[in-house]
Amino acid sequence: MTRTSDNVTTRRRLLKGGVVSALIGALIPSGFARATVYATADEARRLIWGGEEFLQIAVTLTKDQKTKIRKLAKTRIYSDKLNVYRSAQGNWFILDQVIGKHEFIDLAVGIDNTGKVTGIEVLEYRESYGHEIINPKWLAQFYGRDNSKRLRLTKEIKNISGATLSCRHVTDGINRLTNTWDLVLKHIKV
Amino acid sequence: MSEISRAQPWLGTFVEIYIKADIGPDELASISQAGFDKIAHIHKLMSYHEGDSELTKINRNAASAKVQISPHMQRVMTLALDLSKRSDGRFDVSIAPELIQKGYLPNTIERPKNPGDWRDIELLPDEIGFKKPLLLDLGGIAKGYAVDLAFDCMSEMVPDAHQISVNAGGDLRVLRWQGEKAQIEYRDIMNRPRYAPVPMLAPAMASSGLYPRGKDNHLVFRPGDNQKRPRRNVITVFASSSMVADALTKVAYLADDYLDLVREFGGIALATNWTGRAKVMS
Repeated sequence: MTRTSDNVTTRRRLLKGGVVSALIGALIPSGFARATVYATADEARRLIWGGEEFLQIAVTLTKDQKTKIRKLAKTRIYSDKLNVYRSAQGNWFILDQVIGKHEFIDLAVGIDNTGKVTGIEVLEYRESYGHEIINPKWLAQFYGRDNSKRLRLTKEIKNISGATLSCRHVTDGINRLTNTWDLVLKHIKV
Repeated sequence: MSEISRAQPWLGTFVEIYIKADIGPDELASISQAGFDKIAHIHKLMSYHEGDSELTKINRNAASAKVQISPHMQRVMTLALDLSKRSDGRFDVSIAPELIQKGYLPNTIERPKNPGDWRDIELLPDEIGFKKPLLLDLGGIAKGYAVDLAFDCMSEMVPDAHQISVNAGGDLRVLRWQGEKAQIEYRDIMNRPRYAPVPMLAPAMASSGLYPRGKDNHLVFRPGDNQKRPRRNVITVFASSSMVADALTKVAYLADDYLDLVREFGGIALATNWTGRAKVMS
């Protein structure tokens, strides 16, 4: 068998990849994802609250509380278990997740003892199209080497231009948390 | 040597700050915080959505009486009006009424029936007035200005940093940009995001022309023109500042015939097509 030139091979691979991915796309929702990790929960706590010490408090929202918060914040509530921490001064450190149409964002939020939001840090940002990537290797065979690189974009993400990502879901999430503070957290006695 | 990478939601998007320098983690935290404080300040002045922003006060009152403005607003409006004049109105920050009509901005302030345009804006030292009722939306240009302000503040604090970058939803400013690569996000034929690598050609870059997902709508409008822009590409502009780069992407995107203006401001415009090929526009 004669060797084709690199150019032709690449083109064929692209074409094949295109056709295969189009077919797969029609049958199984394929995933495209980009993930960026900014800070750990501990780092975010220090960024928002410095050296202040926090203790985790177990809080589970009742059905009634969930309904009230949902109505006040006009946003969905995915989990009734809260991941919240309180300091001796009555300040709160909250770990939360917001889910948009294409994005999953892990957030850390500081709310002080008067209910004021003192800081919001994005911990991790994941953007996905179709389903979340379950097996990157499986996907890589369809999209070539470029795809596996895209999955590890953390180092390069700081130089991406053109991605005007909307933070509307984060705004909704913050609204949900301030309402949660007002209805629930504020009234918790130690 | 240590580094920090943080992201916060501001200006309707996510703002990323990255610093790499020979300083301790506490210092990195406080310097990046100083950068975010600048961004937050501009958000509070120039957000269309904040009910008590300086922009909202101007939009509500400038048609009936002159409104005092901050030096920040003065700088942004000076560039905006200069660009409007030199592009014969292709670039126009009084686009808000059209954006409200198309559902991109909330109808919190009543849309004027026959709104004026950039020619009806009177910018005086420390004051602004409208000759006709109109509404301003500073969107991209304010975002670019906020990036510059945060960047300048942090690079003054650590002038010998190995790297500083600020990215607000695609408005990017980089300290050591020579030899750095950037990625332009574009959409392939199936509307999936892909990234085209390009070398950084200047300290700042901005891109325009991506569409909201799943909709055939356009985020960039030519004032007074309901025609759809060609779906083909993303326009990226490299310039010395983010504010200029962001504003010039709109000029280059909307008016190919005004590319001279991009050059006059020292900008370089690139067009990326759906295959990811980036080409210098001339």
